Amino acid sequence: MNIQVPTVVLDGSVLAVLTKEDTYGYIITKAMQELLGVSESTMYPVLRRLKRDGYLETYDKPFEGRNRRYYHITEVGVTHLNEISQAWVDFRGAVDSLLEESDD
Amino acid sequence: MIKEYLTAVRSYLNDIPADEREELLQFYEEQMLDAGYTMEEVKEKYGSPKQFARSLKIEYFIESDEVADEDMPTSKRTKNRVTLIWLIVLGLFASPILIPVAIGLVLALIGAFIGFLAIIFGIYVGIIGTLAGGLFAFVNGIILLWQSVPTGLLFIGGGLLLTGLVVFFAPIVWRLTRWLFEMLVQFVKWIGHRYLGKNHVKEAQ
Repeated sequence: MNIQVPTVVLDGSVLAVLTKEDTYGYIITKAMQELLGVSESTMYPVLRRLKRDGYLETYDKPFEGRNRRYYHITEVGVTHLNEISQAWVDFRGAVDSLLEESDD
Repeated sequence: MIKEYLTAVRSYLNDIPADEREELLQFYEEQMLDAGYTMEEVKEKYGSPKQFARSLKIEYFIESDEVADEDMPTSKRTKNRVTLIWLIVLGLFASPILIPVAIGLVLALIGAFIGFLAIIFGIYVGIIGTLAGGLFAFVNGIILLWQSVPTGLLFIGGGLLLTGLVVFFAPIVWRLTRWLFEMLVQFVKWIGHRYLGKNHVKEAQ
């Protein structure tokens, strides 16, 4: 059984991946696919929106005669990620306490 | 090979603005090359260029509709929405989902659309009728005034009342129209998302 990942969690996960280092599309979509089961066609709008909102920037780097688009988290992006992390801690705490209640 | 596939996809994406189209294609080209897919795998995962282009377009129009609120002029937005409805209806006809389901959905859509038009038509006929009746009674009232003052006044009063009602209710009706259109668009978008958008691209195994 799969839980549908809320958009804000997708945003946070992408930003978190980028805090380690700048990376390109396939690395991001692969991580999201493996950990959350989300396809790249879901990720494209997420990346586009994060860029439009100024949370990340892109630049191209040549690789084997083509370009790879690298994603870089901005300062606003880091702030946004912290907000999401905090919201997630609260949310997780609330769900945990509800789920644990049902165990008793 | 993949270049050719994407060139074919590009040829179906004319309704997407050039810069957004190139960005989209660059993203998927990278995905395909970095994942090291063969041409077979690309076709298996994304379908024919035409199918892939269709689901990209549906996703694009749904997404751009969701962010369009402020900066886009209403007329352009409405035009995009009509394009979106059209794409989804076409997509349903060509979709690989079970034929009965597709027919059911298309019928539901046509039903919703006819219902929408019927309600709008009814409301506007009502409004125009009331307005015409009001003005007619008013003019008649003035003419009747020379024959019988009370009858003339009655007609003038009735005419003013009807005209006033139209002026009062017109903005409410306009908002109701927009609300109904909004509901229709939401319904169509839901169908597009559910049956034709993301879910159409198979998860990599």
